[in-house]
Amino acid sequence: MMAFLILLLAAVLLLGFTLLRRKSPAVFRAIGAYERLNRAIGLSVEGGTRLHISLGRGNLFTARGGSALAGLAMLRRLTERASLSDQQPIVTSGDASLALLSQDTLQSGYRAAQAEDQYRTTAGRLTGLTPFAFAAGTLPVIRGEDVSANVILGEFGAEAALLADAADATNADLIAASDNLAAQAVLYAASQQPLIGEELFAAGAYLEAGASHQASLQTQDILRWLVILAILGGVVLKFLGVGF
Amino acid sequence: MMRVLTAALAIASGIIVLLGYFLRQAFPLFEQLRLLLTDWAIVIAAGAVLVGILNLVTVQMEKLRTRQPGGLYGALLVFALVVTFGLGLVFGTDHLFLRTAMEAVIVPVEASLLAILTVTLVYASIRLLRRRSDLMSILFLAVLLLLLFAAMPKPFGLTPFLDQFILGVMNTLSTGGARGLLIGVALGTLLTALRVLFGIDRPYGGN
Amino acid sequence: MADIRCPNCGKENPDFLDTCQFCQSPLPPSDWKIHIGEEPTPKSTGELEPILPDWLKDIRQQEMDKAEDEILIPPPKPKVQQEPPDLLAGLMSQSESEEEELPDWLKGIAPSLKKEEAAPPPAAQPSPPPFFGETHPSAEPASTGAPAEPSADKLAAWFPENFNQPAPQETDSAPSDDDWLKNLEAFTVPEEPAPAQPAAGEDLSWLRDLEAAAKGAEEPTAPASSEEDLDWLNKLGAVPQEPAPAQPAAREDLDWLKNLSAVTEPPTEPAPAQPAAGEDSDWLKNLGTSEPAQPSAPAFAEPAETKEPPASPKPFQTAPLNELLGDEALRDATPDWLKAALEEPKMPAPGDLSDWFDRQEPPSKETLPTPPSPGAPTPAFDLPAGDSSLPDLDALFNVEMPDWLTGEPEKPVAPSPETTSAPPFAEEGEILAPAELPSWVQAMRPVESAISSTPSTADLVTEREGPLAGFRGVIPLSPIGSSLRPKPFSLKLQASEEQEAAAALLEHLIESETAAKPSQPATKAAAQHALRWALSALFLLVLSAILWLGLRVLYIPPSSTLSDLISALPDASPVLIVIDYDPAFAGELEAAAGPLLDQLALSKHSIFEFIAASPTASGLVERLMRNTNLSKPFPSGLGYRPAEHYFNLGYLPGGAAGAARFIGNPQTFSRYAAIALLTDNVESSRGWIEQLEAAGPQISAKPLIVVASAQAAPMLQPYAASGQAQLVVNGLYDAAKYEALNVSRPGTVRTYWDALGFGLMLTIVAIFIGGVWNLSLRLREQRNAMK
Repeated sequence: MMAFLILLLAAVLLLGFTLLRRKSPAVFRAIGAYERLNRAIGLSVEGGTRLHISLGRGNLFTARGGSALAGLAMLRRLTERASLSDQQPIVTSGDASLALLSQDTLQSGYRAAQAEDQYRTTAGRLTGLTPFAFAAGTLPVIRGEDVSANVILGEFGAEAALLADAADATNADLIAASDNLAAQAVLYAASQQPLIGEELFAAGAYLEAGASHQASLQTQDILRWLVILAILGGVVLKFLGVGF
Repeated sequence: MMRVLTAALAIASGIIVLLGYFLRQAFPLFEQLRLLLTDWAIVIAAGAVLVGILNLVTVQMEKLRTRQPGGLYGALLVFALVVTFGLGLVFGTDHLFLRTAMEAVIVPVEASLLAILTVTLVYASIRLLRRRSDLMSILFLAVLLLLLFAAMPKPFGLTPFLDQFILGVMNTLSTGGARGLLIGVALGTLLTALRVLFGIDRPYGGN
Repeated sequence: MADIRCPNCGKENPDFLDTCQFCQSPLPPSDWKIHIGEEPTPKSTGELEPILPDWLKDIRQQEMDKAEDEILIPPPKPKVQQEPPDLLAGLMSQSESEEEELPDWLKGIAPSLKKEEAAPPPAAQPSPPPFFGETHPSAEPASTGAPAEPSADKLAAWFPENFNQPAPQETDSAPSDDDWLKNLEAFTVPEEPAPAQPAAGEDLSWLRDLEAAAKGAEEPTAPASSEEDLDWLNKLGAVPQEPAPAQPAAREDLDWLKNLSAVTEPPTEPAPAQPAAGEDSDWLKNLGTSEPAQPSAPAFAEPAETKEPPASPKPFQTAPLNELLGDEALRDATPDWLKAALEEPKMPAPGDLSDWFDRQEPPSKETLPTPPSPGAPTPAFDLPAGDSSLPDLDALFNVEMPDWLTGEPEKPVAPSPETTSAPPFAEEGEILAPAELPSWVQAMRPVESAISSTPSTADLVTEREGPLAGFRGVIPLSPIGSSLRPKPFSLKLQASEEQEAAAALLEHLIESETAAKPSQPATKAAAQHALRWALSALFLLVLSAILWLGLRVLYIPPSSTLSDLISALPDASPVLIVIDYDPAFAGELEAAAGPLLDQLALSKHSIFEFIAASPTASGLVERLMRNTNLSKPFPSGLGYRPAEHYFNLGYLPGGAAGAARFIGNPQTFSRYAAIALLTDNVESSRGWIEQLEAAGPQISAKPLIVVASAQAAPMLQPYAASGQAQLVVNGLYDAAKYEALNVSRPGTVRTYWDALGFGLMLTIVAIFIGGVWNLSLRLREQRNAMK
């Protein structure tokens, strides 16, 4: 029941803030990685180079599907922006369902940018079904497809270090975020400006994907404070000997 | 019309699954519907694997056709895929050939990649302070070295006090931090799922 | 004409002079308002660039393109190329090709003319015709060939001059006139234009001179420039006796005027009153060939201190057009329109120009220039008495002349602006207010129109000594250094600082586009590769040596936790083993699961049922059984056989959902005595743990043992702490403890243990040394950067 109440509260807050944010956009703190991402998109378009977006291998049947969905929302926005470029972005995935959705999202992005004729189905690729097969299939994209910026955002494991290393070897920009703690640990060491924790889910808001993304961040903040209060309250009650 | 239909289907499916999860005791029908939808989703996901593999083949063949670098590797990949898939269909997954392919090719290759990952991580750790020499990076490396030292097998076993202290403190801190991160990730996942549920984000092409 | 008082000597000077003609001191610039008929002042045009009309920009672009093309073809002229481009810099190269760019009508009759272009023009002949009287003695460009005369100077000089002429010199503006006039405005104008005549206006003045000669009257020139005028001028050649004035009559003729602006070598002498374009001078050359050159008073004399009485004008003689057409080659080259004109017996009806002239009221006496005395008219063309072509000339003008020519004998249509300030097109009682020109037109008008009026022949000086004795006006009277001398106009770009900064930025961007990107230092990349190879080699050598030597020097503390848990399980009961790891982690997890499976098989004779949570995991079952020595026969193994002692259920798709469906079937799942989860994935492990917990108390009460990879175990420890999982085996670390208590069975962990220890030691040393080294390098770089 508690879970249902939390879900209900989150839904109400999300809808309320979405309506509110349409009137007054929120102001967010600066996140270096997303500033770098915006710059990388511009440079990619200006330089006529390619943008590589890797959505990881988040299965939509697991809780990792959340990061995959966040990556798809970001992909939609990136596609619209990169549609001006001479070379269309390439999206790699390690899950078949995610690869199909990435193709669909790419097409939607091009359609929104009124450049649907630029869409190619081969732009959304399934590069492997296991973590290392996925990494091995993604490495040639980073190294040999004239990629100037890599956006690695989704569910990854430690194999994300291989992708980060390849991006570093090609002097390409790297914006990396994962909901996996092991991936966060290795990306912290391997990337210039790592994204930690739930910063992954802020991609849409920082790419100006819409009021709902801004409302999501605000709802997350409120829920986070509620969780903190709940934890502190539980500790105090436990300390006082109140069982629950 | 198609876009509206897909959005309606997605939203309805999500609500039914949620109701089936939360109200399965009060409304068994929702539970049955949830399981039914889950079964369909699993079948569709299995079909998506085939479509994904077809996409993989298409990409590699295009590489070969357009004479891109690595096109020959793509051809080799497609050849291996077709042979393995055909033999698996004919003889089943327990066939000696498939077991051999797994143990002689897949496992060694992936283990090699894991070994490369080890070297890559060590190299990245060495280069970290060259890339970012801030306090957090130094702290990161210091904790890493301490944990490795504490967990490292030693000739005379664990150091009685030092190793226990390090592992205890570090495990507590790292576990607490990890939980905090996971809670944040969970909240982000929740809100992302709600956006999809409300049809705000439609990654299925309806947007 | 306004005068400028010299600040040094206090004497009055004509406004077109730069320096005082008495003391040679620089004169201050005159400050005039810019109206029609007045002189403009120098202005910076750089700031007006953005507001230039589109057509002008188009012209500039076209000329720039032409200039670029032409620069590639002829030998470069350093003078032009070294200077930065001006506002109209694209036009400057036009002068190089103006000889080639003949109008179509002229090209049609060009075969003979082109040959003559190389020959000295009539002005260079010892006895030039009177029309060129002021030109031939000193005008070097004319003596070296007419094309060498920068026509743009003449045009530019004529243009402001006509602005200043108060008398009606132009007819109503036809559209074509507007076009070429606008284009003329776009031309680069020399600072001191020469007293030259434009093509169209000059042609008409020539005709007027013809009329004056025919009537025996003295008439000032009245150039007109309408398209209709030029049309009938084309047909003028239909008169048999009349020389064909190969005039630019059509619109394309005016187009070639656009190309006359580029000037690379302005004349050093006062420009002679000769046709503005080379085309005009060409046909005049033909005229010169048919009549002997005669010294005569110039048609336009320079202002002079001593004014001579004007000479009596005489009609000049041109070669009859029919004679020219008698030449076969010339006839072939004659354009159709000219042939048709030859067949016309009469002069066509006068055009708009003549009508306009008819309507003109004679200007008032006050506004008219002082006309030359009828008794002593200044001859436009002083012909010799014994000229054989005189009869032709007479015959030419014995034809019926149009009204506009015959009805205007008394009208001084070209009064000197010195004596009038009336607008040029003032009708009866109507004085046009000086129009306010747009700023960009003001800026582009000639800076200093030196010639503001048609020089009077009275200003000419008759030479009294030397070989030129008796000649009048052969030496210009303008002082040396006067503004009549065309100065080389500056081509330097007049741009503001902001524009220069923007241009510099653009230049920088273009340079950066073309410049090769500096590649990363090869040494840096090589050093990075070397470090990777060194690390790889170090690990390979050390770990291989340890494994090959079979070192067992590192201590393993035993632990009984696993054994206690297994001892509580029933014998020969089925145990579900979930394979949830990828092939890459097979080595670690097989070793970590070895003690668990060995104890279950050895002590409890459990039946293993394997289910794979990933597509590749199902293929790892046989390998697991073999590497843990379970499927090996006795005595090396336990002799477990597939489908008898263990079962491979295959791949369970759907992740957590699939797990929920699998667990949700209580009839099949309740028979398992325990569940062992072999995983390297925290998320899938969490899914299994949560689904087991959610399956009800009966299912959740079953023992759950999680064998996790070292990377996933820390995240799964909380489930063990909370009781949702009975035990979490943390990779090789925990497996070694259980194996040590299990009499080192199956022994896999023991094999790896020392390699693990030394490998970790090597890693710590490498990271520490490398980290310190890189930190010092970074600090040194920062220090150097601060310095």
